Amino acid sequence: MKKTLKLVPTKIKGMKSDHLTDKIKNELEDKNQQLLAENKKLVAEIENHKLKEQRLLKSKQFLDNILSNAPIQIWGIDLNGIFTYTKHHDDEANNREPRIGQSALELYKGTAAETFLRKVLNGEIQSDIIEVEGTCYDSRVSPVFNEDGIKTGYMGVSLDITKRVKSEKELRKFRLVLDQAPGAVFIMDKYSNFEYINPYFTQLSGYTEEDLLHKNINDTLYLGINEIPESRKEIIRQLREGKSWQGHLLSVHKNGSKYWANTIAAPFKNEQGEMDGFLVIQQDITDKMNYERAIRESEAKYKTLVENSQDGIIISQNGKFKFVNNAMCRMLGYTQEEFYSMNELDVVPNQKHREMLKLNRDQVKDRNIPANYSMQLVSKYNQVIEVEVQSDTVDFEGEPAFFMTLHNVTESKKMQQALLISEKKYRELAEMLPQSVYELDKNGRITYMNQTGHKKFGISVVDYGRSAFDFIASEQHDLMRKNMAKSITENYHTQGTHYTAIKKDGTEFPIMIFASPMLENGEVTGTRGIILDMSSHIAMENALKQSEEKYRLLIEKAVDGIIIIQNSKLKFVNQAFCELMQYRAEELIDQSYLEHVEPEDHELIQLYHHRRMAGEDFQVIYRSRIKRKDGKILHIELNTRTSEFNGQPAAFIIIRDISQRLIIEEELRIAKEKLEELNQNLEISIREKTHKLTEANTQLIRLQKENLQSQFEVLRQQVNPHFLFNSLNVLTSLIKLEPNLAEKFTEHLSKVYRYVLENKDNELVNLQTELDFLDAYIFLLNIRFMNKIEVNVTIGDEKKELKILPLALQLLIENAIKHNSMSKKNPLKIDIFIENENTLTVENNLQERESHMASTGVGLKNIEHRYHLLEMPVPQFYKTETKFIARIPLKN
Amino acid sequence: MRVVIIEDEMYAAKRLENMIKEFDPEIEIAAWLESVEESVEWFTKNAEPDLIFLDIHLEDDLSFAIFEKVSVSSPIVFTTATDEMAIKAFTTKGIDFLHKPIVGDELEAMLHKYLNSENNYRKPIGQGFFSDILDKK
Repeated sequence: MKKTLKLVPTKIKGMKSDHLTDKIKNELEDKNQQLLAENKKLVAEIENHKLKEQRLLKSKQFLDNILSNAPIQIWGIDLNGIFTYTKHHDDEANNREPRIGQSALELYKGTAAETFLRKVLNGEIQSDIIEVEGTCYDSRVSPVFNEDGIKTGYMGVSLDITKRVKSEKELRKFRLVLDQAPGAVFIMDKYSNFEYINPYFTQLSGYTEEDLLHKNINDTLYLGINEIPESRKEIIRQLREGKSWQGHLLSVHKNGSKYWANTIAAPFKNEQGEMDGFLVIQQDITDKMNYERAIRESEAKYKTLVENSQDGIIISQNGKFKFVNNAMCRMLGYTQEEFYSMNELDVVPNQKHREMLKLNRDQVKDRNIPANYSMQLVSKYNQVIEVEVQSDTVDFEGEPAFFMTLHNVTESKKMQQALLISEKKYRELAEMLPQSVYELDKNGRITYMNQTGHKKFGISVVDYGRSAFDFIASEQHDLMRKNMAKSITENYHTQGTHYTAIKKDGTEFPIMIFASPMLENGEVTGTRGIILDMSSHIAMENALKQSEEKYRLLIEKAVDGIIIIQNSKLKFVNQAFCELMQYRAEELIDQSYLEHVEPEDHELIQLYHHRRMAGEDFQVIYRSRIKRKDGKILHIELNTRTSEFNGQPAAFIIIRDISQRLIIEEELRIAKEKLEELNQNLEISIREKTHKLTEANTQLIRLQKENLQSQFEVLRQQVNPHFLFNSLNVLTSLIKLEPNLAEKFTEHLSKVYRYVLENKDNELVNLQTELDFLDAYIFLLNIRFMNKIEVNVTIGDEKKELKILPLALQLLIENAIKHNSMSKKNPLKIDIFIENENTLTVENNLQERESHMASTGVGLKNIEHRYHLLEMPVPQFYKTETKFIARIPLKN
Repeated sequence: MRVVIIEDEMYAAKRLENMIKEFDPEIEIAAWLESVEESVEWFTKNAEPDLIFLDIHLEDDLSFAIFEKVSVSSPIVFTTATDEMAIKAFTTKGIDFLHKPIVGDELEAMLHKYLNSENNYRKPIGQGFFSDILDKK
């Protein structure tokens, strides 16, 4: 309700607005204000009220909400037990009428509820669990007070806990069962917190409720364990997957000892189907496990023993094989399956069947006495196997059986045979030896001698049993006794010991004995040995000594010094050496050899020494210088050879004083030098002479050669077919064309050739002769080279007695023709004249051809050579710009 | 038939001419040349003959020098007293030769061969043809 009072000061008539109106105005104003304030208050109160109402409504709604969902009842009673309010959640559903005004005490008369209410009204209790008509309620009350603080009644809430109670009862029953279960049980929630353990578990594991309950497994059982064992992990895995696990688990007692538990672990789900926890049931099987393990181990041992036994093991029952081991299979060649299908007698040779059966019967009679006997068995391959059997009677699968160990003695029997054979062989061998072989018993009596021994000692079998000492010289009996004792007690094999033996007939001979103890089954039964007859040996030694003596004499009587050096020391010096060195033997033996040698020679000697010590065997003859006792240096020649001396390499040296020889040698050397000089001089002079001779010879030969050559050249030139055929060519032409000229031509041609033939052998000819020849020659030329050639000869008569080389001029003219062109226009002009006393000049105008036939130039060279051979000045040939000039020397 | 005689000796040339005429008077001696110079000039100005008789040794040079200046394809027969050159020419270049003094039936054979054939023997002989036979100064 909103009331607004608004007072508007109205103008009052007639009143003037002076301080009175003002006063009234003020009072009115105040009142207005007051009213406004009260108005506000009222409004606020009304607002408050409304809020309260709303809240109350909300509370009611809230309460109704709760009620409609929760299985609770809310009720109120006054102090007389009359319902002031009831509300069940299922009021509507059950169509229940509100019981307000009814007496609760009456309603519930005779029930636990009445009792409860009375107690409540008495103020005795404020809550209890009561059962009414099969339903359990958890009821709680609280007093209700009015505004004045006076209790008016009680408000109560009852919760239907019937189900819970039932469950709890069941759980308790279940729990009781578990508590008394004959197995360890524990339950964990899904987080592995222990929810329940039973006393048996405590007994088994040692952990109490206090230790584990509501605690996590990791904080208790697994406390301190870093690595959860694989076995546990496996279980956890299974459980998480919703599967249960069963098996043997090795767990640790609280006190640290271990135990085996047969364990079943299973997950369980809640009503929603979610994993809610685990149930584990265990039973201690430690003892059983241990027992089982012991059994297994013992079984294993037993099995190993049987299987690995070298001897065959059989269990037979009623004549059949119940068990055979590997060794047995190997022994007879049958497999286990084959054995199990066979009879005992199947492996026994027929002739032994009766024996076998008898043995078995006897054994059965005298039970518990193991039987040992030998038996023959036959293998799969029909081999006879000798066995030694040890047989026991046992119980096998409830019935008597034989347990047999069979030892294969086939081999050992064979070995025994072999031994007998080998003994026989030994005997035969002993008999064959050319040395005496004997055997004595422990007392030194002869038990055996071989044939040789019989012969050597002159005894026979009759003498066996006699003491060996009878056959050894008495002086040596002690030694003999000692050796024998040693053999016997210390198993000692004596090295060759020398004795003097006495034959039966008394004659003595030297022997050497090699003895060893005789053993039988590990015990010494006597001694055995070989006796070497040293008679011949001794003789040889004597012979050797004799020869040694001779040898020694030789050395001592030698003229040259003979020494033996070993390790640089003189090991032996002969008389001659001592005399040479002017020392006594004692002064030299074991002294260093090098001390006596001239220092400069040391190196060489040491070199040889090294080679010798390196094992080289070589004979060396060399010279050295040694110092005599009085200091004089002696020149010696050493003839050394390496050999063995007392088992070591040593130098055997023959020393000869060569001082005298050296002098002679020197003289010889000088003489030789002189001779050589002479020889050389001779050689030189001979060489020189020879050289000269050779030279002269060479010259001669050359001269001859050249002469021949020139002769040949001349000849060649002269018989030059070129000239001849050209001439003939012209002639043939002339014959027809100009017969008269032909005749003349022929005459001149023959003149030319006659001249050549006549003069070719002459070294020199008269100039006149040569010029005559030249005339004929020129005639021929003119015809052939008509008007192309001009030859002018200008020589005074007085010169015609001078001499010239034959055909030299002809050669020169031919040369000119060969090398120059000749035509009518430009004919070849040749001038021949004497320039001075001894020179003939042949000039021609130079018209050299471009090309010419290959010429060896022999022509001019030939002239040169021939002049040279004649030991005349050499002709000169030279060209000018216009001419070719040849200067031929003439001789007087 | 035209034939050229290259020969520096008059009598030799004359004889050859007579012998050719004896063989066949119809054969014309187109020229008698005595030097390389003369020959080169003639071959430059005149038609090639059917056959050339060539002496090696001419007035001014060896006849090989002709072919350094002109090329000629008439068949050639050397006439020479010198074996050496002729044999070389024959074996290396296949050129026939006749020894001096020229023998009648040998000449006949040549004439038959070269004048009765149908130009089988024409081959050009030019510069460098004889260079391996020549020995230049």
